[in-house]
Amino acid sequence: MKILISDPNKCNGCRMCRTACAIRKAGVCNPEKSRIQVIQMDECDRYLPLVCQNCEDAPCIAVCPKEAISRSEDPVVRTVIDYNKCVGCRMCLNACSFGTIGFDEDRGRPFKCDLCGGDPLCVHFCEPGALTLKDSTMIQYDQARVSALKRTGMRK
Amino acid sequence: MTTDRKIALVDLGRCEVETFPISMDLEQRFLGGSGVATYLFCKHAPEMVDPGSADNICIVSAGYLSGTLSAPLGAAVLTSKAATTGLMARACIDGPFAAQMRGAGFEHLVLKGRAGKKTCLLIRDGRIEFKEVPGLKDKGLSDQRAILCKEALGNEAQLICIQKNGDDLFFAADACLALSKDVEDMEPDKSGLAKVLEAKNIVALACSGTIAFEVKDPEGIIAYERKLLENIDAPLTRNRPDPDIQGPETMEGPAGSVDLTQIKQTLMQCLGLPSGTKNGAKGQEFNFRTAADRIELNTGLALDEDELKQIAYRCITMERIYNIREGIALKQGQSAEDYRENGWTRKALVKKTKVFDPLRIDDLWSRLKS
Repeated sequence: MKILISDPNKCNGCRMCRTACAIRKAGVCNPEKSRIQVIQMDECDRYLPLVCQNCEDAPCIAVCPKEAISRSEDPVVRTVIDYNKCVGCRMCLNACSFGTIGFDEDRGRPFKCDLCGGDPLCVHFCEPGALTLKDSTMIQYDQARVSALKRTGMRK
Repeated sequence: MTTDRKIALVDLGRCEVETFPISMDLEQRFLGGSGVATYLFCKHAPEMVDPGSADNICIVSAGYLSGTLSAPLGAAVLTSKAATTGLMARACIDGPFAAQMRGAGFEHLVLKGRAGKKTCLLIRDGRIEFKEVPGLKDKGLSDQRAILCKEALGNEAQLICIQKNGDDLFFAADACLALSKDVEDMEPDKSGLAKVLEAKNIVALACSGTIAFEVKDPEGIIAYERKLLENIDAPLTRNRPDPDIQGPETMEGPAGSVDLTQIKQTLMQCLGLPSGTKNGAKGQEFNFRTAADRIELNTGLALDEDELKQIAYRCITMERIYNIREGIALKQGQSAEDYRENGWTRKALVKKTKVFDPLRIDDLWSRLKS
């Protein structure tokens, strides 16, 4: 499975990724239409580009009243929206913990990152190299989880 | 014929806003950014106005390509008569403000009059609000941003604010903060325009918007910019030599000669290409062909290299004629010396048939002839 990794230490907030995404997916310059969001973290003066995380236990799947969002075996996009079932109720937008599901007002339906079919345009436009597409097997999830738990514990 | 781009005439004293669409003719003659701003300034600024008075106007402009893939962080340009020199001056503010201003529905804000109290202009989705926001004074940019974001502008809001740095004033924008965490390190405003805004009782301009602007050839511009990015780190010897470097270093026209560097700088301000980045002087050299391609792919406006140079020449000439009207000949200093040495005098430039007509600025004749 491929996942898009973003490094806030490298991101300079140039928003090339967001602009390129909106142009590719909607043909216009409008951050609202982009599948990638750039979060500005004022407290530490950093930027964090975010796309759909394809969560293991995805809240958007759980909350969808029409079961229009489901897991797939696709190695690139694990969470897919079936637009034949979707009624545009926006429950998924509210449920997403990362705020990476957008809504197309013109078509009345949600959208999210599909990693451009495995070759994400945002990665090509990220000049500082903050965005990289990696195989999930390359990421030490277990270590990351232990580290995160430790940090959480320390804060408590 | 008009475009979907808009100018807002903001009367701070009366808290009134009038909007006008930008005509195709205006776009073809001046593109946008500092080009249209110079034209609007010449058209609306009263003669011999005191820069610190309510009658002076200040224009905030987004570049013609600001917010597009060619300039996602395209610079905003402020144009006014500066308090320091008494001449037309500009200040470029890099960062996402210009893009956000276009997203909020405006290309140019013409600020006139003086607000009764310290005021913030909140610009969002085609509307402009005049708001007194308590608690902003003496706050840093980050705190000001947090306060203004709560004013229903959302987290995407971008600001330009005027702050004190020692005894002087300086502009602070979101991108400036990203470049320098500590505002104490920032350069004070040398253009004198922060004082003009302060005299208008403006504390901050905040933009937030979701208005989309169309891209003429989406896949074309993606492919073009991607190619430019891929070649950005290539050794210079592998690049095609820029024909501009080989040619003459000045451009001649009905109003005398203009340095090619100044032509390029003016075009960058018209287009909103940020300074000091890959699009600017420190990275890739400004290239007329590339600029023309970018304009056509983003907007559909087809211009050749000579037409681009003509636009810049027109803008520079307007500024010179304005400065002559405002009495630069009687002033001291380097700028006045340059005017005298190069023969940029009333006698040489203020001529309708020889200068205004061929440069297609004849509609400014009645404003600038005196």
